Amino acid sequence: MPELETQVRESIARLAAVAPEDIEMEARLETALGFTSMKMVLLVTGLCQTTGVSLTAFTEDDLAAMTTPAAIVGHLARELATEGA
Amino acid sequence: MRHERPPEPNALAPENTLAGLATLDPAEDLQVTFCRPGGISSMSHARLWEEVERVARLFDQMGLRRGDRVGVCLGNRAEWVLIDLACLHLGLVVAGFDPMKFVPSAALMDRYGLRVLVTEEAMPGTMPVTRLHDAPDPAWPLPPWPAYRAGDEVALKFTSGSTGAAKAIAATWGSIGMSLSAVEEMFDHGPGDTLFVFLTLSLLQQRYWVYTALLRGTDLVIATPQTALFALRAAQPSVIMGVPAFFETLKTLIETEADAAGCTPREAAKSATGGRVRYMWTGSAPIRPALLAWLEDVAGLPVFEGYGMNETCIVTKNHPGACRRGSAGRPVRGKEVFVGEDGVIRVRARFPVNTRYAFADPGASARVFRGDTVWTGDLGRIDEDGFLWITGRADDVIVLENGRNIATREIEERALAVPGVSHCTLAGSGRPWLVALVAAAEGADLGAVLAAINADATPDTRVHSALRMTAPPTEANGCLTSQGKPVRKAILDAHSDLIEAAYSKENDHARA
Repeated sequence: MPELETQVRESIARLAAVAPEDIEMEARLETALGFTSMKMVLLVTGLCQTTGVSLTAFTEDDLAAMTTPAAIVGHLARELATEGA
Repeated sequence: MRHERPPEPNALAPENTLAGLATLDPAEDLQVTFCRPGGISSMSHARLWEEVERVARLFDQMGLRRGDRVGVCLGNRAEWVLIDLACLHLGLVVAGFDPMKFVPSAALMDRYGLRVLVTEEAMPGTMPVTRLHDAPDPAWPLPPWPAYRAGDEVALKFTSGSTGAAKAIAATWGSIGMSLSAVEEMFDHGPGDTLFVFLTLSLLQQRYWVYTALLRGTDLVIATPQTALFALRAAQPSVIMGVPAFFETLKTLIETEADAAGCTPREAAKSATGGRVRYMWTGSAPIRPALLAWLEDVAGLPVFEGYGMNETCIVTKNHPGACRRGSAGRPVRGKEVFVGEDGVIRVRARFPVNTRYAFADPGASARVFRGDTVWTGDLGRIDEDGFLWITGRADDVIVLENGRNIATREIEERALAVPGVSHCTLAGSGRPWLVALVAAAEGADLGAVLAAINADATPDTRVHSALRMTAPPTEANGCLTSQGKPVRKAILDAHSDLIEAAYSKENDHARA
């Protein structure tokens, strides 16, 4: 999980031009960092690529719920656990 | 062996191109693939066509008859395509509702005169999408295709209205056929091509690519906005349909991957798009010249920009045979474009989309459809070689208190160059000076935004204040179209208090 959180922080930091350590895990990306829907797609697609999770493993509801860094970590972790099971 | 190109639109007149579907010999070796959250599925053209005919029999058995309206409020999925083609088969009129914008209800059905509304979930009065999997009575015959005439209305398409209720225009059979035919003259899609679509199928022009795939014998991949970047890599498309907001995102993806892999943007672009792109299609909103240049010159991805609107369908298009970067291209066959002394672009069509709105505020049809001409409301010029250059929306011109006209587009684009800024909309109609509404990350420096906007400003174009939007424009809050285009009026309405405060000088935003 810490490694996954680091990956999520770094990906967000790159797209938002902020330092990884300045990202609050419970902050809403749309309001706190100005993420548009397209930028959210970019973030999640990139993280799926990095972690080896298939984006289509997530439902519409899953994707809609990924509004904070913590939520993204949670969904990726769940899927990695499912795939590894 | 690859499927051979179907017979040329042969005896079919261009306006009757869609009639090719009635005599289609769908291929076993060409695929339509759907990539959406929750999974990927594929079927051959032949299998798709079997399903279309099953749904057509089901609809016929349900008592739907020629001219009836069938509403569809679904995300991109196979059933969308089945319904659309089954409706064409039966002469029904498809009304596509973007589920991001419309809430399915009995009231929606009443407002637009729908016999049926197909929805994701079961709800009173509507038809849940799962019912499409019902088997019709085995003895129920497949009705023959109707004999269409050019002026027959086959699809209802929606556009934002000024009072909240969406305007709708019914697209005619002849206008669709003529547009499809004109596009093929320019791009000659065929076997070996894989077309890639991800924008909502509620937009009729996105469904054109389904018709093209079937009529011209190409593979087709239909994704959703959420899966588009993911699907792109695996689909290896030769043709990508997009809008500027998507191409901005694609550029960021390519740059990020080039940095991470230590390769050139051109190599990263190949990896991100599957390496087989023949060209990318952009429209709906103007693409930034710098983005267009980057995609073509740095990433090696040809992009062809065009111009059109719901009321005209495609009007002009750059293409491999005639392209001038930054322009919207030359008029396509069947369209005539001219610019009035007021700078407003007018369009005439051999086969018009329609000559009035089916549903609109009183007077809306008369403002846009004037005789045989559509008054677009866009501003432009035509160069000496016949290329159209869009300079803005008539609506996007702000007339200041002193009577000076300010074209907003160029000023707003300057703000977007500042890191962290995602949107900028100017306000100032009837006011002494301009202010800018800016959607930006919390850490973004509004002073820097103001400085960027005011580089080379004249006294009239100087923006006095940069105001942070309370929320970025989204489809959900009605401030973006489904194609990512800002809805100026909605943005200004949503921030009217902020704007008023700026002119009363009682706030602490950045000032020039």
